[in-house]
Amino acid sequence: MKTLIANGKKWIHFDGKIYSITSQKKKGSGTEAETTDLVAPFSCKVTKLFAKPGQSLKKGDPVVTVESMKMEYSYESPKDGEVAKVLVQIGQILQAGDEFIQWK
Amino acid sequence: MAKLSKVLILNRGEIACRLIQACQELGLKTVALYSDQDKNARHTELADESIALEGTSALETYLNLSKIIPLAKKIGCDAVHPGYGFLSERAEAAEIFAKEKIKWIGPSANSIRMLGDKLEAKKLLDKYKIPTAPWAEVALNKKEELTKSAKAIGYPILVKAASGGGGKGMRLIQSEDDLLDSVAAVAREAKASFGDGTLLLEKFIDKPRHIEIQIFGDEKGNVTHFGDRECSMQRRHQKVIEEAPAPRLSEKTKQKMADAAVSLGKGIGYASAGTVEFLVDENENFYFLEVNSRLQVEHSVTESVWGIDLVKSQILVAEGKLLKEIFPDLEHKSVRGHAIQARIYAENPEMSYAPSPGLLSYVEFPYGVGVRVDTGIKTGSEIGTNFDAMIAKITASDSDRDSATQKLLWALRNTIVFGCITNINFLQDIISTKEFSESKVDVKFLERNFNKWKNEIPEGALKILEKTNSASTQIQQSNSSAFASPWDSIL
Repeated sequence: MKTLIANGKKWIHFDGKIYSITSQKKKGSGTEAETTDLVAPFSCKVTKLFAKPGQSLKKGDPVVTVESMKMEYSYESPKDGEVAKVLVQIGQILQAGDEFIQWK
Repeated sequence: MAKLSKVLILNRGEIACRLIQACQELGLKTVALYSDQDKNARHTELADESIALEGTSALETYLNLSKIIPLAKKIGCDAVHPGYGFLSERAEAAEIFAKEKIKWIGPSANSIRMLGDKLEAKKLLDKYKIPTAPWAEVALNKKEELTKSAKAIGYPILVKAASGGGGKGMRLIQSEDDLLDSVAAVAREAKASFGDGTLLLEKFIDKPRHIEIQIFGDEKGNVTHFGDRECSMQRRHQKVIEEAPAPRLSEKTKQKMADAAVSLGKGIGYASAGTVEFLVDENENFYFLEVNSRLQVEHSVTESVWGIDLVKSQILVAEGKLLKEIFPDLEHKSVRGHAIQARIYAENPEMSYAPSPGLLSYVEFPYGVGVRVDTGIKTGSEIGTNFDAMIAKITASDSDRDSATQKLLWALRNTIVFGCITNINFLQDIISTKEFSESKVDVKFLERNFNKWKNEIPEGALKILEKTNSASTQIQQSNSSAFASPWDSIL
């Protein structure tokens, strides 16, 4: 069995399997908690942008398309609401946790 | 063709390492290329020489012919090996190198053009009487025509990049509602990955198995096959586990598939390694899927059960050797035992296989009888998002399928990657299923059974992690850079 802390995450190799928890989180299954915020879940590049400032989005409306590890991922609005600001632009490289838009 | 002396490796990661090893075993010098982030990658260390391709994306680096060709001439290499992905199925690349009198270790530009382009390949099939599912070419700008041909084929439909492969640039369309969006998305993916946006629509065969035939030819028109591989265990149309020989398939069907593949290869004078992929339905009807005119990721399982080295054989063919010289005992060669390969991806199976980049703070691979590890990573490697998420392949070989499965499980249980989330636990759970052990698996198996898979942390592991807290915090503080020495914290 081996354990290690790196980059704010604790890792363990336990009974042949690998688990990790973030330092803040007591319990978890190795992944960040799901959120209804529109954020990049991993580092990626913005390839398409649908949302505009002042636009009223319906739940399910396309917001942004990103590319990572050669695959495309599309993100939809998780709720009805008005866009205050678009925080990304096409071609921009995002880090995990970067927000796509700001709600009004 | 004379003996080669210096090979430029047109790839990165595990396959670059694999190619370098084969070249060096044959006494050939190797030159590696690297992007900005790959400067310290394992393939650059293994090669005799390595050269920077400035930039970060594939287009700027490993796909950038205008940088690579002058380099190849400058360093005086007499051959290039493209591996898989990147330039491997770009006919114009093979052609340009041929013009420069630099040997392309792989099929000819002509073969790549005919087969690599799914559209052209399909046209060849009638000639060689190879069964195929209904299909149509996509005209992006003619929406009515597109809708019409989709209707004629009948939903569900697959849209895929004509020059694609490995599951990249491919999507399933369930109904007309998704047609235009999906086609546009695949066209963009195809352009980004392969530099070519040509697409085709194809009838989707429900719950098929993916079984493929390894073919191999010399430059004098002799073509043979090295049996079949079962590659049905897929997520997002990408293979996860592959094995040879294909289980639960009659010898009669295997022979028919192999004969079809060889006749296609012979028909076009295919040289070097290639793979003819088929979809096989429950009644063992098989339909042509595509030809990969290159070395395949899963070539390792074929090598294990046939006792051959496909990469070294490719080099020998490029030097002008004949099949009978490379494999003098070809007629007596047959499959021995069973081999299964698992692909380790830096991805999160709990979150729709989302990419999971990161700095690998600790990496350990298994070694032992019957276990083969192909990888380009090590402790300290950084997994970025510019390239494919596959970081290693583990192949287990044994006398029979059950033993090989147990061996693979053992190997995966002794594989450690800390620093980014991988599918290692997921792979263990897959091969532990009843369906896998009975090989009752089709290409939709993972989608049906593993979409809600969770990596639940056991209480015991959690307790230990909580206990190690303070000691580890010190290590974290003592090294403000992301990379901590693992040895300090290993219990």
